[in-house]
Amino acid sequence: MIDTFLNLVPVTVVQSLLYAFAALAIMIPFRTLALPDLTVEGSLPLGGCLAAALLTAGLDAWSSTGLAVLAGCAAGMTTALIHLHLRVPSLLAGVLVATMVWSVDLRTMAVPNRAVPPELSIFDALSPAILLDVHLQMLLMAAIVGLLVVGLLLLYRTEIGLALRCVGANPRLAPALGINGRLYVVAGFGLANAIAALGGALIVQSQGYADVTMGFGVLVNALAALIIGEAIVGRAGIGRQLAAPVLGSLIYYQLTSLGLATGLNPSDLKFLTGAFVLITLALPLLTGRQRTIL
Amino acid sequence: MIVVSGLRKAFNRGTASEKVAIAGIDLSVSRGEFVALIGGNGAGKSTLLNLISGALPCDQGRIAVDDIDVTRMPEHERASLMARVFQDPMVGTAPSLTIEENLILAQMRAEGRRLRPALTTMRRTRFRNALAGLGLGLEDRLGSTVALLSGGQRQALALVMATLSPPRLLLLDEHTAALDPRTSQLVMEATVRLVSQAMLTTLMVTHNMEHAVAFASRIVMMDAGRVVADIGADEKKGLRVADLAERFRLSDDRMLLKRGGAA
Repeated sequence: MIDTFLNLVPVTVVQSLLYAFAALAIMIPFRTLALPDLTVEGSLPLGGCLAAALLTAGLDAWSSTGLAVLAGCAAGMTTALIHLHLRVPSLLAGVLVATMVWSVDLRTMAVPNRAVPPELSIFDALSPAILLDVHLQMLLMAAIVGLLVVGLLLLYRTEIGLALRCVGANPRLAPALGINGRLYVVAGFGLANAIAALGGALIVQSQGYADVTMGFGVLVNALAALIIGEAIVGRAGIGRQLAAPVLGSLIYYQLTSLGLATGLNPSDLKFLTGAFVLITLALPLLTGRQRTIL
Repeated sequence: MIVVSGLRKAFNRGTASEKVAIAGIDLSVSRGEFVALIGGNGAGKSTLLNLISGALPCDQGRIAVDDIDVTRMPEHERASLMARVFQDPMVGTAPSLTIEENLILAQMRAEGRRLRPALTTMRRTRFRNALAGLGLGLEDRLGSTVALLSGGQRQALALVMATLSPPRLLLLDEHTAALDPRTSQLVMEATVRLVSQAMLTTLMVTHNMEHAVAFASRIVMMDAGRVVADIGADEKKGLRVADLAERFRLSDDRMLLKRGGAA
């Protein structure tokens, strides 16, 4: 039992790094902009399905992944524009876009799931050795996620990044300081969902297939990961805020792997993750402390 | 020079509960003037400030700052011309950001933002100097989160933020009203010092008649959305709070209370 779990640790690390993109994508609207967004549930499969369709149609791995990222960005921006201009609550706007994107995914792939041969993948384009060696995959994914986190950290420290954080920290103050809040919300949602779509595109190229249902439950998993990460490193300062989703993702997927290895039924996972998120949300109410999760 | 002409604003327009907040205001403020805007609750003082800053759109009229027509400009664009300190200390600063990050954002108000590192040694030095003038010790806490500051410290910071790159118009919206009398005095003194240093054109809404009489160069009184009195520098000489109250038969409790209070 434990052997099964231990054998799976490297594979699970790769998986958790692939899903760390979704957790980072959740963190940006929830924490930086203080405006919850559920588009990730649609932008991650959009990235995956579009990448699969483009790859199998013969486009190279870099362009396919790049276009997938742009599509995710567009999905996020659409959610923000619906929220800002049609005054639909951001959560509902995200659900609407995610639902509509499902049809787009089916249209682009033409079939509900599509195999992506490893030799077409971006990993193979880098080096054919990668997909054969789980340790190389770990290193590569750690490097990509690390670069992304450092990139975001640098972005958050620029003048524009600071304005983005101000829009979330005090939306009434932002316009008085000359910041066009709407523009930053649109850009922030775009950035977050571009990251989610990158995650989707990499997942598809790593597992070798895309499926229109691959986004189902991603949001709750990402939320659980974010909650775990924040419980460990906290939320004070942008360094911790950016580290939390990645660390949380690493732990969350090891926990589920441990659960499965000890005989947990995989189909019960969604219920358990949902219950975990619910309990963390309810806990502050029971203990009388202020709710800080959402 | 700030020119407001024929300004009108009604809330819930076209409904039974329509309320005219600004019923036609013409006001011009010369460069360097420090105008105190006084009047009872519901006189339209804060609405006027919101219209000038662009936080609310006006129904009719025109607003110009140094011959730039800002009437149709959104709030974030007007911010390059004017700065504002809010009544609520929670509104004027970003609590989860540090003191220096708040100051950077304030400095960017006029210049705009670019994709380059926000924190530089030069800026830090400048912020330290600007904060040292307050005498609150904030200059040694540049890296602390603003959420840790008291209401008075936040308001003092908001004031420094508003004046860091001198605006063409400074809007103060009862910015000392939420503070205890001692802190209120301290923030008011800092206001007068910063305003006179940079010779800022200032529009200050206040319920504190002492402050209006002592610090402003001109007092404009509003009632029911109109300007009902305009007391210039010459006329203001020798004016006492009691005179003001008597002259306009003030029935506003808050003002009368303040007469006994913060002396």
